[in-house]
Amino acid sequence: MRAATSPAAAAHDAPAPFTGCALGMQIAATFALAGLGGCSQSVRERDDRVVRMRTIPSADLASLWPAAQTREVGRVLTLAGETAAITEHHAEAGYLITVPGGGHHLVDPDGRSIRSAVDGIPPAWWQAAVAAHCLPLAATLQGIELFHASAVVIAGQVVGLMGGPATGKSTLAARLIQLGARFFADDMIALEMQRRRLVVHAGLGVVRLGPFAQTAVPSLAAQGLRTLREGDGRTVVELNRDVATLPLRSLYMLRPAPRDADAAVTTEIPDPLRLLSSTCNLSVREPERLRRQFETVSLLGSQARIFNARLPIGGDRELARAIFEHAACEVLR
Amino acid sequence: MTTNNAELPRERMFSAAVRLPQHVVFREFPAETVVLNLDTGKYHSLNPVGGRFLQMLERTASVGEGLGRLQDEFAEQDPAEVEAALYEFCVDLAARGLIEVEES
Repeated sequence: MRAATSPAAAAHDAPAPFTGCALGMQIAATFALAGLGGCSQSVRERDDRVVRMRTIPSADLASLWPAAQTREVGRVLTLAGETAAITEHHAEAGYLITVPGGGHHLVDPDGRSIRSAVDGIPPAWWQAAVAAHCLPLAATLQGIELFHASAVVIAGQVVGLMGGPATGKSTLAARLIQLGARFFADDMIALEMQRRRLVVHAGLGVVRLGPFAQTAVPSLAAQGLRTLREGDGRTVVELNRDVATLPLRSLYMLRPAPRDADAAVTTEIPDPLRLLSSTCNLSVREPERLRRQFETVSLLGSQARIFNARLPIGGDRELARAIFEHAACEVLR
Repeated sequence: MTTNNAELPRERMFSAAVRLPQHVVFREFPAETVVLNLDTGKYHSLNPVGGRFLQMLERTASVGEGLGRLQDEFAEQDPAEVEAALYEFCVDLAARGLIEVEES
């Protein structure tokens, strides 16, 4: 994308009737974003935590992105090694995220605006790109740290399930919901320090369920499930989720195990480098962000109770039961 | 005089003071101490002994004063070994730009 000779003005004042909260931000969008839910009191009180989202023609976005002084700062690959997203940075213009098949998205330097050029792309595809890449970047730029984890609420406190791609986070979350937990976030949790305490903000109410979790879909209907799309062996569902901002009580570090191993929960000594590698948006490397990221990991290591959760192949039900019982006991301590 | 000269002789090192530059922060975790260089974005992990060394250097007026306290703390170790370990530690961190050595 290259700048035209006369850059077009962004339509910052376009009506944005679809509002809600996710990842600690108030969101105002010109399109209906799946999973956008209500706001907690603490998020509503933050006037500085707002992101406006709109779609614009590709030609307009091209005119907003400079031709020079840009550099690639991040590239996300799928497990198969294909490019899932490329992030470029320009000091004044912000970040341009290109998602093959999912459009081009311009995130302002302060994370308060996302403009998406998605001409001719089905909404389900480009909105998935917005949820996976643009909103998390906006949250990071606004001072919130995101970690690769899913989360549910057990006895009023957030329980995180942390692990790399395809380790079973979403499946475990679905199983825990079947057991009585409430859905809180899928694939990414948003942490923030509030008066030296770590709190977690609810994510979008969307869950991507893999093949192992398909049997959970019917029983999740009681939690207000709506199937958004199916394909590639995955079902994407929209779920009602807890709107509150809550303290993070426990974190379970998922470790894959062979099929014949037992699902088990054991005590884990916090590994700071593993926690650091579980953060998102590693391409944002300004000193202020690095310091905040480091401080958040430090608080995570000292405030959250961290456990090792061994997940054998096909053992998601068993591990979910173990985690549910373990977490319920931990909450009582 | 401030220097990151990793070849500072032992006598001068122990009479010098050590301070962390503003672009270096560290945090203690149960099994290690992690040091972050905000300028380079690189993380450095110290074992528990290294973490204790760093804490002591930050709190004492000179490396020599820190040495004395560490030799008391690690009383079961040969004082000469503690001295050698602390010297190597300072040389290593200075070479990585994680401390600045100020000679009086």
